[in-house]
Amino acid sequence: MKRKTQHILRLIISSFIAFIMALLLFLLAAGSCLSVTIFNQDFVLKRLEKANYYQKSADTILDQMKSLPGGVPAEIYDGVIDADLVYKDIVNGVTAAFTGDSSYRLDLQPLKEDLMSRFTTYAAENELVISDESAESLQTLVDTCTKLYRDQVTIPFVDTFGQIRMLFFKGYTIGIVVIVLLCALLILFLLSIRRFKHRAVRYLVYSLSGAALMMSVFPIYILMERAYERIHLSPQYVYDAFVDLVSSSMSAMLVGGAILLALALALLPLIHLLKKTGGQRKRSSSSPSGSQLKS
Amino acid sequence: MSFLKRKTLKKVMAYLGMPLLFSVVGYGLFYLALSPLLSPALSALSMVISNSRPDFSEDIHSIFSPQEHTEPVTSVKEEEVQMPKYGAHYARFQIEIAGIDTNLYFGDGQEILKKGIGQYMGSFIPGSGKPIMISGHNNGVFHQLQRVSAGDIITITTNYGVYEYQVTDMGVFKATDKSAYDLNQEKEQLILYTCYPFNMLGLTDKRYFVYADKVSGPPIVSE
Repeated sequence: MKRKTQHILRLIISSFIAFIMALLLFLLAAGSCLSVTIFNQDFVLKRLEKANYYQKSADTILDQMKSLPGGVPAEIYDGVIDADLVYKDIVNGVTAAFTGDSSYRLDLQPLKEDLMSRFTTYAAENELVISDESAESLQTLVDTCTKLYRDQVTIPFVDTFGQIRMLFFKGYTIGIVVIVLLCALLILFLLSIRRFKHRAVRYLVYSLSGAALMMSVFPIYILMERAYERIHLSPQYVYDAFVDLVSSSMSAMLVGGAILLALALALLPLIHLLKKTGGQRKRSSSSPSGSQLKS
Repeated sequence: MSFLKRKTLKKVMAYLGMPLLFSVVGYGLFYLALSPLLSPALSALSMVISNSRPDFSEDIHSIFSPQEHTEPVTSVKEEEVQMPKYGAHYARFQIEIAGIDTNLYFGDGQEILKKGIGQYMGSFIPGSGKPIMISGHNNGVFHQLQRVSAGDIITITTNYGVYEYQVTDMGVFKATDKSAYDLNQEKEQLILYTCYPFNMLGLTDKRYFVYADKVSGPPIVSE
């Protein structure tokens, strides 16, 4: 009876330890996935490039400028901005948000000067007199054009996102150390309470598989339900970039789950080996010596 | 079932069941721990997530197909009128004296004004007995609005009838001056506006208004 009670107690404690480890491994894997995907600046900028975000943004800005009723022909705006300029300003903005650089300001002065120069050149070439009133109107046109540019190259909520990212990395750095230490302690404890080591490793497999399942369920649900595709963002290239970022981050979490599952499967042969060596050691310690047989 | 087979089955069930149990309990714990944050976050999300994906196909489309009437139309039933949606080309707009003959769209966004003239969606359609407000760029079709004077006739042809309006007045107001128009009046007044001055370089804060009262056209009646 006492042996049975001890066995049940060991089972409960081992299961509890395995559960805690599963949670810790899940947190570690999820945090790692976030750190290399949505919270990683290079990842975000590469996904934007893949979605052709910069070129489409430049085209949209130019199109909007040309639509303004400014009294100047559309050709005046050709070449005032391009994808390279948009890329530079977006990268600078994202970098500033991700590093918490609150002093960063978008430099619109060159654009303002270029636009005003084009408008005044057009006026001069067409012998149009620029009165005080028209000078004011031209300035309003320049300001409206630069506002259009600023609105398009500023990614919505990037500052808030940057603050969340910084908070995340503060916790993540400490979290990794704490989780690894805790997992090591739990593994050692599990091995110490289990007489047969292969059974302890079995609980490790449960932990890794549990963590893999937890890593996979949420992204599978998100990717199948596709609620993120029903968010009405415009223009289309902003929507496409957002959908791409979300789906690739969820896919990365699935990869994380697959890695955990692979680790779990890799431990199965170890269980078999430990069981075999544990059984052989048991047989050699319990079999009688030759002299005893002879006697 | 032999003892070995039962034991193997038990192990297999453990390999499947334990991770499943961990994930169910784990998600349950996360839900309990995060529910104070989850509820407002989900409520906020539900406000931005709609039932369908956004449609980026061009909003601008045409529902304009005027019908020939053998007899004069005295009134139009409300259910016979196809209410235009945003971006619909639903009528033809003409001011013969100014040489204006263009498509009239429902809505006045930038995409619409690039193509023609657009009706402010907060105003009403011809025949409704309420004001109709239409805008256009001064470097486009409405550049000729400066040639319009009192007494000139403006014609709007819709699928359900032809409406004529006679110009009564013109005026210049600031873009933010709401006294330039009254959309609550119980009169079918046509209000046209564009940027002013007409040949000004740059963006101006003044608007040129043309006002016209309805002189003919079938009223829309409800049953």
